Amino acid sequence: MRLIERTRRSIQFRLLILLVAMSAVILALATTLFGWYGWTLQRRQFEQQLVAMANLVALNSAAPLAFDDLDTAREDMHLVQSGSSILYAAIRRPDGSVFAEAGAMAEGSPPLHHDPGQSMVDYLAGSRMRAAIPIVLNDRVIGQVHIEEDLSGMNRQVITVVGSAIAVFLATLFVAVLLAARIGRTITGPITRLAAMVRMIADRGRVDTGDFIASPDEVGDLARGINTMLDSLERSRRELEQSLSQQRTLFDTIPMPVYAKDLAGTYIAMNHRYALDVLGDKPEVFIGRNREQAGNGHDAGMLDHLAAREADLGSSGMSTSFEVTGHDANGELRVYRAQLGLFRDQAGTSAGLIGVLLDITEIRRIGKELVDVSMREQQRLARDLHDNLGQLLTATAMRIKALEYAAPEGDEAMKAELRDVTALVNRSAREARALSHGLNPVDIERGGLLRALEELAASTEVYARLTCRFTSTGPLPEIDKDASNQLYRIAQEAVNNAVRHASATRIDLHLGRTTNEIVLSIRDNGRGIPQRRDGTAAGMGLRIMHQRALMIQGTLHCNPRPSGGTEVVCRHPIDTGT
Amino acid sequence: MNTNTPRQPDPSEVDRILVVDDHPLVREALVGLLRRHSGIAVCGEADSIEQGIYLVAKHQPDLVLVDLMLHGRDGLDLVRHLHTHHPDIRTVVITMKDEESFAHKAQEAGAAGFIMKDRLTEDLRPAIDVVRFGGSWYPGRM
Repeated sequence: MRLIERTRRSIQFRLLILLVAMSAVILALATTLFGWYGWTLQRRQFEQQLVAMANLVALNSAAPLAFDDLDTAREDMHLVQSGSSILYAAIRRPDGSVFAEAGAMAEGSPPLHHDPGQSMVDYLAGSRMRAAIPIVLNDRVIGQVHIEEDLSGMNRQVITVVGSAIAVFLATLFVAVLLAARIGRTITGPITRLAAMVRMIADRGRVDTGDFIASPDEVGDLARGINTMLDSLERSRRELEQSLSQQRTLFDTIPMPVYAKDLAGTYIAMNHRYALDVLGDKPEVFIGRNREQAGNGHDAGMLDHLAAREADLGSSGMSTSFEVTGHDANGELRVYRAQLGLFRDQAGTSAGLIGVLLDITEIRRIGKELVDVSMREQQRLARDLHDNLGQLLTATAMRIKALEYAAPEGDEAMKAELRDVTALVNRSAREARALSHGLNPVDIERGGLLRALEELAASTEVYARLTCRFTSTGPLPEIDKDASNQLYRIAQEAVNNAVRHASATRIDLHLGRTTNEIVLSIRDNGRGIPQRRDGTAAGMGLRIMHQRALMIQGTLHCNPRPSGGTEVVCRHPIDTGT
Repeated sequence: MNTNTPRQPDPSEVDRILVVDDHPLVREALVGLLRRHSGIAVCGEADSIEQGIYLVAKHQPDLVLVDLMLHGRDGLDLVRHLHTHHPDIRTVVITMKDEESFAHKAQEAGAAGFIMKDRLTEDLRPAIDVVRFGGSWYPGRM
């Protein structure tokens, strides 16, 4: 059933029907015209024959009628009627009455023309043709001849002609059907082959039959062209697959969490590190999902923070780098440096973003450890200088002083020499103490951070010959040793920058607090922050200050002041014990 | 420098001094230096607060030189003890630290003098001379 329907729908079938219908209409029209022409021609011929016979009879009947010779007239009529197709023959007087007749007149026929002087030919029921011809003698109508002829002979001839025409029509139609089928096949053959070829491409991925490839016609060209195109497509597909595979491998080889999202916030790619360390499952679980659908991972706060910055990136279009903290699978707090950037499609429109998280927890810890170790070493060295070297020098000085007392009376040169040596040793002891002080400026026993900052201001005034003041607003909470040291070093660096790079003439140091922060500020009236170039002392100094602030969970901001100069503000959270 | 000398010293008197310092080389040098001075006798050496208290009780010195730090402990504890229990014994604090606050603390604890160790060679003798006769030795303080 399907096959039939398909065949009916096929182009070849429709073309066949169209050609056959066209041929049939044309042939039927031709046959009809031919039949009608044949019949008309035949009838005219019969008419002419009948009129000619009637004229002859009329010519021969003039004498018998004029002389009222009934026997001759009857004999003539019988002679006429005895012809094969004449059914009735009569000689009528001008009034229409019969003078002599032979045969049987058609019944129910309309009467003859009332004017016997007029010739007429007409048709009667029962396949008869009737002719009436006037009989003229000396230009006077003396009667008329009336003949009726059987037309069945003519009809038979017409039927034969029409039958032959129909036979020719049918034969021609048959040939037309064959031709139509052939034409249909010629026209639709390539289409059918193309359809087969397309099915083959769909099934096997390419044209792999010699019939098509070797074909010299357009279908062959098409097949070869399609194969070339398919080969090129296949190469492109393989290259793309290889590129994608490389990308996936690259993604997974990067030893840090990496992910990509579209602009709607849906994950489109991620490596295993991101999936496992941040979200807590395999990548395929989260691809195609957004922030809400992907769940809270190991740390909802971190994912929210990232999502907020991703939204900022989407609106600003500026790549961004920031720190974010979050718990890992073991519940340990990790510190990441996140880098977010947009990627674009071929038209240059933003298509999505890529996020890279660099785990800096260990770097942070090692950095803090380094600073701690360095600070401990400095303090140890300071203690050694102060306690051991200082004491030894003091002891040495006293020994020499004792020698001075023991020197022989009167040997003033010796005594003077020994006094000089004592003074030298004492000076060495003081230098050692100053060195020790420089290594460990924030000595809790010596007044802690406040005292150290006071000393910093005082010594800066002396050494840099400018105005440097320290003020504090209290009461200040107890600041631990680490924080005190870092805050002091930040102040020292800021003062150093103001003196060396900004040519300031006034520096104000201030230590105060808010509800939950210690706030250290260093303001100067110098040239402002120098243009940052990597490697410059000022740039390096700023980075170190930032690093020191981070070590004590603080923040550091370095901004130009509206009135000129620079303000460095470091905020250190107070441990409220909660 | 501000010194206070209420009475003139009598050269015939011999001052008996106890030295309390935990650093043996400093202690030894200090004793050696003191012995070079006439009118001064070192009656003992101690390296801790406990030993200091013991020797004070044993020798009843006129003056005790006390290091500010004694094996990590505060030498001012000894000063306070002597000030309370032996008010007639004068004490002088010697230290490596040059802080104003320490001098202030020493004065509060009852010490009669305060000498930086790197000034001992210059200040020891005048300080003893001032202190033995009831004066006080606090350089730089009013």
